[in-house]
Amino acid sequence: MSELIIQILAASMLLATPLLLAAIGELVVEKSGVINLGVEGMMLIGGLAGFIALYQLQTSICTLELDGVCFASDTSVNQLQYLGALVVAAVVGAAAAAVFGFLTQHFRANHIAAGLGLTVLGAGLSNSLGGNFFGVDYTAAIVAKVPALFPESWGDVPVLGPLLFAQNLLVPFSFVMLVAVWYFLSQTRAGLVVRAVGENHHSAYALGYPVILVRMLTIMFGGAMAGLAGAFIVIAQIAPKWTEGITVGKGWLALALILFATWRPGRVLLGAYIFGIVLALEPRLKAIFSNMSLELSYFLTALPYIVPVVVLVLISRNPVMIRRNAPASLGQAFEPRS
Amino acid sequence: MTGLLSLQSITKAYPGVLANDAVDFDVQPGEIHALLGENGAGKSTLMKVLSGQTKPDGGRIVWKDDETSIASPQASKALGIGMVHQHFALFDGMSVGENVALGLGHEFDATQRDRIRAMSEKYGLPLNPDALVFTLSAGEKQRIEIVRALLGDPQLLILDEPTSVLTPQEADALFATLRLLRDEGRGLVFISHKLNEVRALCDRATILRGGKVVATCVPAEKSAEEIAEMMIGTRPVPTRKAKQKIGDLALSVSGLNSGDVRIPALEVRGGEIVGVAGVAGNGQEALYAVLSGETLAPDAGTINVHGQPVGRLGPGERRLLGAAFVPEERLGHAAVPDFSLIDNTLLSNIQTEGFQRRGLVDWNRTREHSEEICEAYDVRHAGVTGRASSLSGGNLQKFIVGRELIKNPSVLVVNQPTWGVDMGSATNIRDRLKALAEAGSAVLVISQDLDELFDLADRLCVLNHGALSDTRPTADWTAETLGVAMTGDADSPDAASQTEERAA
Repeated sequence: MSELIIQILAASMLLATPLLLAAIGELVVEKSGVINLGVEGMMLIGGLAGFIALYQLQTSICTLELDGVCFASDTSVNQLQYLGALVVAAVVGAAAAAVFGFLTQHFRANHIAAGLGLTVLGAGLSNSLGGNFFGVDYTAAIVAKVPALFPESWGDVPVLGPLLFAQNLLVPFSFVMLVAVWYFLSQTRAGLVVRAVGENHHSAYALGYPVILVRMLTIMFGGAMAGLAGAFIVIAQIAPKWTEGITVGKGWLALALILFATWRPGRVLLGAYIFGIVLALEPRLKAIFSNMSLELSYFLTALPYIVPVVVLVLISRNPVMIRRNAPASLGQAFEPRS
Repeated sequence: MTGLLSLQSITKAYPGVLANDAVDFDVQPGEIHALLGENGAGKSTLMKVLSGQTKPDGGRIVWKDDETSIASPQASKALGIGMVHQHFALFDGMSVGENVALGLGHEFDATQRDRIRAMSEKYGLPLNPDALVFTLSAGEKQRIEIVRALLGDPQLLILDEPTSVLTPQEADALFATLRLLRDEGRGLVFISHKLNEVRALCDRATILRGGKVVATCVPAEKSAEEIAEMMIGTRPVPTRKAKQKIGDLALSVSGLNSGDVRIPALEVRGGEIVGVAGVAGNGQEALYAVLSGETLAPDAGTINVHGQPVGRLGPGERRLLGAAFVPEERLGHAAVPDFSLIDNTLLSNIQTEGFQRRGLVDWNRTREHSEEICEAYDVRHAGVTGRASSLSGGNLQKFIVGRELIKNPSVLVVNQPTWGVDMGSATNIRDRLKALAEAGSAVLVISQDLDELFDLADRLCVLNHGALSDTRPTADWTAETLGVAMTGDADSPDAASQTEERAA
């Protein structure tokens, strides 16, 4: 029984991590008063960029060579190459976010319109570039699986093995980032300034804080985190594989999670993991109750999308806490008053 | 020794207006110096110079015997000048401590919380650093601003109308704090309209009128009437030719209390103009809203147009009875800035005139009507398809007034008809209002411009703290009685009864 629980937890980590990464980034963006609906688009662009980078960086070894011509080859990826691909994904995600930032902060474009534009752009661009644009059809490209963080034998250690040692680098990273973002927002002066900008940009400006600069930085951080979330889905969640629209709405789910978690990092974590656990439970329940009705089976499929929302709504109903945590300037274009 | 601060011959001009004309003003350590004046007298401009928000065109600023310049808000703070703004620069969703920390540029930590507590206890400004700002009253919010200013240890503290949002009890507590600060040797500048407060609290008063210093006095030695006269000036009351015919009762209000505004009795007859005087922020917006139907009165019978109860009717239904309304805010209230003049014409006419044909808008008719308005009321424009926001203030004002006047309303309520409008347009608009009344309509003008009211109104009443006074013939008012009625502290029973006695 306990083995089953650990199995489910390990599987839920794979499912929750991209949600958590994207949501942590967007949380900081929204706390600064900006709503970027382009999370899905940034995940696709960043994910594809990471995949292309890993394809180019991976080591090829010829396994069948005759007269200096290679007839068959094998590829491998080490942690350093994987890290390089992640950096590319984050940088490209941040660059895509910078376009949004430039439109909304410099030209004071509507946040909603610019964000939706970024989502459409991200989907279209990643479809084109991931096709045959660079002379390689990335939908057919083969990239070796990323090795686990620790020696393979460590994976057999009880509890810690499957939950930590066998996991991908980004899983512990998402926890570190969650704590870091919580600490930054609630305990540091810079985080206080970010919250002040999101709460009342006119007062923040009057007190001498650079509203637009702060927002550009949070937007780019959000983009980098979305890029990493995309890279995790493309490279690490199963095996490295690029498919069009591979994020299937996870960016939107991340946006919804922040709202239902009322901008509190701990609750974003809770929401992401409830989603992961219920999703991981689904095939196992279906296997156990193999003779369940079709309706019930459909309901089980929908459950991962229902349970986190219901739980978060039920625990986040305190209006004072909502007012405390919701950024009051969210989505408003800032124009300094003369 | 010139004292703590000395402003010498400060001059500042804005396009079309000399906001400060060679103003001399000084503050000694250990005194509370009141700065008095009507709206537009130049108080805010002088304070903007001190807080570094604007640079004067001429004059000298001497700070502790050294000539200086104040280039930015930061420079003002660095000199030792603290400012408590009338409109708080606070973050509602954050705690008191966080708000203070953001204003100071220090790390907010445990010692800071202790400093806030120590400061707030020392000066009788009770504050809990962990309280969330949106849960606090206006008085508590002001304490945050004051503590934030005091933590910077200013030698000069400027308070811009600090009591306008306070209850009398909160104001008393504030005065105790201010006396404590004075006794520590700090200089304080107290900006206010409320003469009773100034007489009780301040050591000296400088009175501005039309950008110039008209007097410096010890307020306790002067009566409220004398100070009011200095603020407002003795105005020649123009003798108006007696009205030939005052018609039937057209607009009457009685026993109305909407919470924001209280009108015991108000009657406007056909052929006369009734003026409502008052300092800004005393309920003019609420008065206009309840008369126009933008907010509904609690009872239908408290407002009557031509004898019909309209208290529960909206603006469109009141218009159908022959009433018309012109709000104060040209852009955003009276007119949609990004709409064309044609669209804006349609908006206030859709119910009263035949602008619809078979359920569709008759655009030709609307366009012709827009052009008629512009022609008849001298609105200079680049075409009626142009956006309302592209018109100058004066021309747009003529347009929104003309849009109502062209319908020959039998009742007109107009709020600040010439606010921020050039002289030529203002005269034009006033002449049109007089002509409307002479043609037999009832006109109610809400204005802060006393010259305008003396020029236009047959009878005058005063709005103070949301309460409308009795109406008396304009000739029966003097600058003193009007000044006292406008600036008296209506919340204190003393002042209220004084005002009533004088009005009786």
